[in-house]
This record gives sequence, structure tokens and C-alpha cells, in this order.
Amino acid sequence: MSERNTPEASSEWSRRDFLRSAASAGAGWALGQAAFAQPPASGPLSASQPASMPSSAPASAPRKADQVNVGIIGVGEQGRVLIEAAVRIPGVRFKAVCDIWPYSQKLAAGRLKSYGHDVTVYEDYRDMLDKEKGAIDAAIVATPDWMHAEHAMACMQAGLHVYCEKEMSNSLEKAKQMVLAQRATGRKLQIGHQRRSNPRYLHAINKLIHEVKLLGRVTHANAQWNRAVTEELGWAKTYELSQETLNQYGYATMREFRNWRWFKKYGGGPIVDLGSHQIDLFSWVFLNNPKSVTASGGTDYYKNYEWYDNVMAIYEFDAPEGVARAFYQVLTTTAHGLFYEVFMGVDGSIEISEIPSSGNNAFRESRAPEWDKWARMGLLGRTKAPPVSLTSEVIADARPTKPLGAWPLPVQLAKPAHQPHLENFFDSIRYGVPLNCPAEIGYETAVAVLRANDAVEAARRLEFKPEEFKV
Amino acid sequence: MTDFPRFPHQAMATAFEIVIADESADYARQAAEAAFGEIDRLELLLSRYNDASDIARINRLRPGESLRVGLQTFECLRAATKACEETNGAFDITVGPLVDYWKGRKDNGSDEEINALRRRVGIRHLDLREETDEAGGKAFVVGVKQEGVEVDPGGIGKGFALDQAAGVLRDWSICCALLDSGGSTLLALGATPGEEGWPVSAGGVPDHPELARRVLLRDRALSSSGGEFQGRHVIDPRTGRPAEGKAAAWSLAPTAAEADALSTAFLVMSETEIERYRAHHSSAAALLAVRSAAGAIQTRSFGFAFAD
Repeated sequence: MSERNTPEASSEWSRRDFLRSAASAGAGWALGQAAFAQPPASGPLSASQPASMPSSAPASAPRKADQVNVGIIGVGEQGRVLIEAAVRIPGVRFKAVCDIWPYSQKLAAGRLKSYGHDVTVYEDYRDMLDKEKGAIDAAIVATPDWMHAEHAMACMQAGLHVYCEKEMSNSLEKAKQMVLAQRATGRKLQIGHQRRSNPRYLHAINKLIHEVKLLGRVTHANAQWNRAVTEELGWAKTYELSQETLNQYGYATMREFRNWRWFKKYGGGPIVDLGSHQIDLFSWVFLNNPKSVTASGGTDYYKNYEWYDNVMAIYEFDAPEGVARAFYQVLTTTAHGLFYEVFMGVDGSIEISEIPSSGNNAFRESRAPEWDKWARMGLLGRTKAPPVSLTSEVIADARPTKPLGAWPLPVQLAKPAHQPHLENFFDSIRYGVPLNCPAEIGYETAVAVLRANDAVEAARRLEFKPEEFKV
Repeated sequence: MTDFPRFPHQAMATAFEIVIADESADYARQAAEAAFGEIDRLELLLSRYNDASDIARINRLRPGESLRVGLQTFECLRAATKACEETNGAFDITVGPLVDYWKGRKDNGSDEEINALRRRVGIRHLDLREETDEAGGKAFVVGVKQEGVEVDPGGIGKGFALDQAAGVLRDWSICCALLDSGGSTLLALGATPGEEGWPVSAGGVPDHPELARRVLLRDRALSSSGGEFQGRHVIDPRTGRPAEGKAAAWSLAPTAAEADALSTAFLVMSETEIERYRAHHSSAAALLAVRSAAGAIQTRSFGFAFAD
């Protein structure tokens, strides 16, 4: 009866829909995966390899062995998003919540209690690691970026597998230490670029762009995350941290603690907070890390913050079929266009967004081979508005540039956006499936993203050397 | 009242507003922003226009399938189920197919078509269950038992969001606030200083003095629903046909979710049914605007207390 809430179906993204579409094509997902089991013949690519699909747990796996006990460090806004996704995964059991702010502790522990997870609450992560030794298997780290390295490394050194939010760190040196710590401890380290596990993105990039080459040679990408003016974050007055506590944990003031994303000590600014997810896709699509970045930006609107409130960046890539360029913008004073990514090739484009209503279509160029066969195979949905509008009386009609027909992407995600990436992490612990965003990929993306801030500061084009992306 | 700081916010396809009477403007603004943040999170769960929401996922389920949803989605659906049961089916969040059928329709409809659609309508077609695993973890599961069921939480979701937003304001130690979901539902926390309640009125009906009278709202919610003035049919989920006779209805209830659902229900319930409802829910009240045979608007009150 219930198909999607059983342990066997823990990784059940709209699997049935997908199987219907892909398997009926006679190809099936397995073929798609096999096609990517080997690196492409050309290109210096290493860790930016396409990710594997979230796997389904073997039905025969014993129930008890499935349980993963988890502690979460950092339960602010993002930590609570991860909790809401993780509690929907069978066998994931929260045991501990750690945050220095009692308000976040209260919200997270209260919500977890509603989900039947009785957690011990900690203020100091060292205390949590000490007291929960042997009781937890994994940690989720969703603290401000500057603490990721300290928290993730301490957890791995304590024997825990770690899901760490992006950005790995606001310092490349610290991000590098995380990669080294992962290698030294042999623990799993998944970085939270959750689009890497999203079946919609896996279909668009691995299947349509790379495997069936729907877009032909992809020459350009364009992505943005724009959001309206936001107020500075405040805090409920009965939950103000003492100056002593703030000092103890390295925050100058309550205001900086609440608005850490805007300050250089703690975060990387909007291009890191918002852009990182999307810039991460560029190297996935172009099968290489960027070779240069040019960027402009500034603290033009919010005068009380340190980080650039808007950045426009252009990356250049040596893609397998030639040079490709990608434009990225993050604006924090207008919501115009919201957030999406577009990949443009000579035969068509794909516009996609984590929110499907903001992007979920492929657009065919008139020069492209017909796409009906892909729709028949279920790899594309049926075109919404066929662009052909000839009547029987005419051979052609004259009009300014014909609009490209939109072909909806056929894969739907039947769960919260972060859930497949968490499932991939927990399945990696439980069943050894490969991580979709291991430390090395997280590091490569951190280099590409953090260097955009450097390019703004330097006010010139920065070249990347391939070894910059290696640890 | 106009001196109190007011904060607007667009969400759920309407204009929310929060008025805060007992704090400095800066503190009040940040508190309102925190409350709006909660409303935005709820919209991500409840919007049926966002393919990624829990509700959109439920609407894609086929009979026999089920999925896990977030706690708040589940609570909202549970509140909708309770409202449906207590109003004897007059409020039903699955009425959408019938509403679509009557949209713009001038004729009397066909019994055959209506009966076919009625088979898809009824919150009883949803299976809400709380499942506990052996470790004690709870899953909030929604199953669908009938083909073609469409959930539209529009009649309760905004009220539910106001209740949750009020919880955030309480965390911020705010005792005097008025929360407004685009004028359709008002929720009062406390009263304006020195008053018995927040002065509000049952609006939306032009040129009717009775409706301009003040209602003092304190720790409860006032909601309105109107068919005539919004130029649309109000469908009685029980008959599948437009409910006739009432131009608008207002409800008073302890929570915004209840008030929101009740104002819709009161539009289609008979006066006897409303009285019966109030016999079991003494904290609820109703006000109806009824058009007489001569075309004049008359009001009917069921425990609906004006201040003056």
C-alpha cells in the first residue's frame, strides 16, 4: 500500500516516474550510470566527475543495522532545514543537538521531540563529542562557515562520518585541512551541495547534457540568485547571549552572531551563501574546473556590512569540446528573476531551478535534430507550446525571431530538496555507495567560489592553475 | 492604532501585515521579519503551485500511495480534517474540482458531471497517520485513497500561517500584535494598550452601517469569506452545487486556522447548522450578510458581539 515510506524505498525519489520514463526507453538508469563509470577519454577532470544516483537500500538489509545515530552541530535556519529533511529518512535517529544559542536549541529540540527523537542538548561541541562517544555514528555540521573546519575535523577525529554544509570554509587553507583530515581518518565527508544528489539535476546534467548530448556542444551557462532587500536579523530579547558567551565562541557582538554571513571573519558573503550551489554546477556541466574568473561587485547598498552585497562574475572553462563561459550574478537588492541556472548549447538550452516553477524546461534550437525521440523515450516531457504554427495555406510565416519550444523536464522530486543528498550520505555510511559530493569536490568548488571574491577585490581577471584545485 | 508600526509582507499570493503595539519600531520590525520568515517556510510546505511542496507531492499521489510530510503540513491537514468533521462537511479542502467546474458557468450544470466530480471530493479520501518506528521515531504519513483527489489548503492555510507566526511573536515577548492575512483573517495577540481588544470591523460589504461597527478582538481571530463581492461561486462540497443566499460570512474563533475554515463553512451552512455548531463550540461566533428578496443586505448574528 504505502510505497514511499518503507525502508526499502528510502531513496525513492519519484523513482517510479523516472523508471517509467527512462526504462521505457530501453536504456534505463543503469545504463546511464554505467556510461559514467569511467572518466571521459579526454580532459583532466578528477573530482568534478558526475555524481552517482542516490541508491536504494537493499531490501534484505537488517533493520537494526540500518539505524544511524546522529548529532547535529549548528541548528539555526539551515540546520533546521536539514533536520526536517533528515527525519523523513527511515533509520536516521537524532541523539544530540548542539548550538551555542538557546533559542535555536529550543526550536530544534522541540521539533525533533515532535518527530519522536529525544535528544540531549549541548552548547559546546566538545562536550557533545565527549558525552556521546560511541552513541552517535555521524554528525551534521551546519554552523557558520568559519567553524566548519574545526567542527568537521573534530567529529571525524572522534570517529564520526560528517555531512558538512557548504561552503566548506571561508578560508581555503582551512578547507584544505578538512580534506586532509578526511583522508587521515578515513571517515565519510559529504559537503552540502545538495543539487549533486537531486534527481532533476542528475537527469538534466548527467543524462540529457552529457549522455544524450541534447544541447550539442554546451558553450555557455548563466545563473543567478537574486533576492529582495532584507532586514538585518534581530533576536528575541529574552534570548540575548551574554557578552561572555559571545567572547567564548569568538563572536564580537550579538549582531555579528546573528548576521554572520555578512562579515569576513565568519562567512563569505552572498556569492558564497547563494552562489556556491550554482557555481558548483558549472564544473559539473563543463567537466572541468574553471581556468579564470573576472568579477565585479561591492558593498553598494548595505553600508553596515563587510561583504559585497552584489557580485557579477564570468568564469572561463576548457570544456571537452572547447572553451565555455559562464556568467553568474548574485544581487541582494532585487528579487528579479529569483534563482535558476541555464546551460546553453548549440542545439538547445536547459533552464532549471531547485524550485521547479522557476526553471524546469529544455528549449530546442531550430538547427537541432528532432527531439520527439527523446520525448518518446521519456527523457523529455512533451512540448507545452509547439513552436510550429503553419496553416495549410502558407509555407512559412514571417515573424521576428521564433520562440523556442519549451520541453518540460520529466523528473519530479518527491521529497524536500536536501533529502536526497542526506540519503546519499546515510546510504554511503550504511551501504557504501559513493558520496555525491566528497571533500575533494567540495574543495574544488570552494576554490572557484572564494576566488570570485578575490577577483572583485583585485579588480582584475584571475587565472587558475589546475593544481590550485588539488589537495 | 494608525500610530503603531505596521509591517507588510507578500506571501501565499496575498499581502500579509503585522501591527505591533508594545515594542520599539526597530525591535518590532525584526520580530515581524522573523514571523514572516515562518510564513515563508510554511508556504514552501503548503503551496500547491510549488511542485516541490508537500501539498503538490500529495496531489501527485495515486490511490494506495502515501508519503511522509513535515510536521506542520500534517498539523494543517489535521486541522482541516477536524474543521470538515465539525462542520459536517461544509468545509472541505478537496472541493477544488467542483469549484473549477462552476468557474464561469452560467447554466445549472449536469447532475451526472457533478456526481462524477463529487466522487473525487472529500477529505475522507486522505489517510493521515502517525507511524512510530521501533526506535520511537515518528513519521507523519499522508496517503490517498481515491483517484483524482486535489488538496487545496487555501481555505485554512493562511489562518494556520497566522497562528504559527503568532508563536514566533510570543517567542519575541510580544504581547500586543495584530496579524492580518490580506484582510481575509485577522488574529489578535492581546489588545492595544488600555483597550479591551484590537478595534477591527467586518468589512468588505459596501455601504452597510452594521458592518462598520467595531469588534474588539483579543486573543482570537476574525475571518471573512464572501461569494458575491468576489464575483465567484461558493460551492457546497456536500451537494456539489453553489450555495445560495449569503453574500458574505464572518467568523470568530480561538485560532486563525479555525476562523479561516469557519468563515468558508458558514457561507454554505444553514442557520440551523450554524446554531448547532455553536452549541458545541461556545467560543465561535458567526455573522452573515444575507440578501433579501428585495435585494437589500441584512445581517444575522450568531453570538457575534460588536463593541458599540
